Amino acid sequence: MRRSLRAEWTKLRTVPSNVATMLALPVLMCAGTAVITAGTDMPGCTADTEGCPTHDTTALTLSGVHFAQLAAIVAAVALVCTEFHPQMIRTTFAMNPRRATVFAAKATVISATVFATAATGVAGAVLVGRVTLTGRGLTADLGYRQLAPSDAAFQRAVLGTVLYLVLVALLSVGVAATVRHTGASIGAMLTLLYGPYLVTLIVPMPTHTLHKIQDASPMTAALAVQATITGTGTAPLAPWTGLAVLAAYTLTALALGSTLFTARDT
Amino acid sequence: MRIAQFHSHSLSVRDPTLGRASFDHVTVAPAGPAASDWHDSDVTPSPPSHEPRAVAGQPGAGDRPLYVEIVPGGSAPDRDGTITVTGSGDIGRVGMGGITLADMDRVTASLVGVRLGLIGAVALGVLSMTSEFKTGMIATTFAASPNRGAVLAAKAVAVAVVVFVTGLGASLAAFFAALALQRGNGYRPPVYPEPSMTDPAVLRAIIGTAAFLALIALFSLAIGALVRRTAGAVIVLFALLVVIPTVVAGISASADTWIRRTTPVAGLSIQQTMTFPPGSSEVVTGTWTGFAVLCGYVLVALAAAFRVLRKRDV
Repeated sequence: MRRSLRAEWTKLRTVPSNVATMLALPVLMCAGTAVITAGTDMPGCTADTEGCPTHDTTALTLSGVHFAQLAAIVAAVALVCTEFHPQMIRTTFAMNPRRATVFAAKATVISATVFATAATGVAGAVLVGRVTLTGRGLTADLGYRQLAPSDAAFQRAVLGTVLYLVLVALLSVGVAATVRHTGASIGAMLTLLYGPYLVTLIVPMPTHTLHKIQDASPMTAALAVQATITGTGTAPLAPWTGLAVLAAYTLTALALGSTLFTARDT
Repeated sequence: MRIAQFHSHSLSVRDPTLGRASFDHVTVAPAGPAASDWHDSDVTPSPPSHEPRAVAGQPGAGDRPLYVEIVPGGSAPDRDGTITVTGSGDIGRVGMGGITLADMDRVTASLVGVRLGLIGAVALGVLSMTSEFKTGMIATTFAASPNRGAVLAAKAVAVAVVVFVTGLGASLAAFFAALALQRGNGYRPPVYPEPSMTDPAVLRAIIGTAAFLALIALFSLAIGALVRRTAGAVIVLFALLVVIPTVVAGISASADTWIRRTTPVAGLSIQQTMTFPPGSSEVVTGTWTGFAVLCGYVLVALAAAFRVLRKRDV
């Protein structure tokens, strides 16, 4: 296992495009949050007798996750799929015929790397987002109350976002091992994450149907972990329950991926 | 028309209320049919079945209603020249107090699936270039046909024709299927007029949707030729065409308007068949203006791809 881990780490570290993707993850996270917080509508609610609606600043400063996850998907898919096209996988399996170990090594390396880069990116995004919101004058008076860093809900949202990115990367590993084609894997991942979300946006539907779709689709369910105000969020689920939905998808994909990885011809 | 009385209670969003408004001395100018010829239409959608009541404490259910219930059974009896309008929601004369004929373009709504369909167009466009680069097939292609510009043009024509024909079939199917569903859900004349295939605007929307998909495929082909990597090209296009418009639409109205005017998704303006009152966010750009923006992106991207293909080693 140690040799496999080292081999996979070398593959990730020495290919310039992989390094670029991993560096892009925190950059996209921060830039995405910066753009979104900078573009948030200025509320004109001062004249409103009922006061300003409360905005979930925590979820807002973590919204760069939409862009960061693109990098997580690409990195994970690349680590698996690039083995198959030049048939590098034969060399890899010749080095270590225990295919399950190779698969586990890939999954471990990608999770550790995504965890580290995502943690950096999320920390940066929170800082950037808070500074931008304050700089634009979106304060607690206008409904943009910022939670204290010691707040349990805030810590859960931040940690949950990092774990979300790790789970998305692992899901991509499972899908990539099943599909074995870069373009198709990325397409499958994006459709899985955004397909149901797009459907809920463009198709008018009764609330119970909407909630069922939100609960069952991996991205909207899992991003409920970012909500710190009851009644907002991407799905009507408890935060960790939402993340568990994504974890269930990830485990299924990893089980399928590792089975096919070991059972199929190269 | 003058309103004599208006008894409507304040309409809460959460609890639908039946409102009543009376109109007397109803006349039309210039003189038209008598008041007995007036008729009313209930445009209330049928009530949703199995709709659970909002449960307190359940996130999303009680705090933020996503679906406003509307009580069916509006009426407008005419008694001695006074018409009393009863109903829930906006009641009154069309064109008054923000009451418009339609808040939805039925044609645009029927073709909204293009937002998912474009993923297929992106995949086909990108792969038509990148798959050749990945396998090194491109070297063989250029050996067989050293005129690289002609190779790019041939690929572009093939991709565009295939996507246009498929897109046209899909648009027609979606249009007719959606029309039936809309009628069933209460989107009926007179408030929501029945779109007709003989209407040039409707034809333009349907054919335009297929053309939109073909242009997106061409744009993807050009980006594929520039980036030469499937993963990179698909991610860039997906972020530009799906993630950014989707995420921004929920966050900022001004940024959303800007995106629908200046990015390639502006081409969806070709689906517009109606004009909306000022202040509506349904229409943000001219029908052909938005489409021209997309054409501009495609031309620039293809020109860049043409230049890069001729200059770069394979």
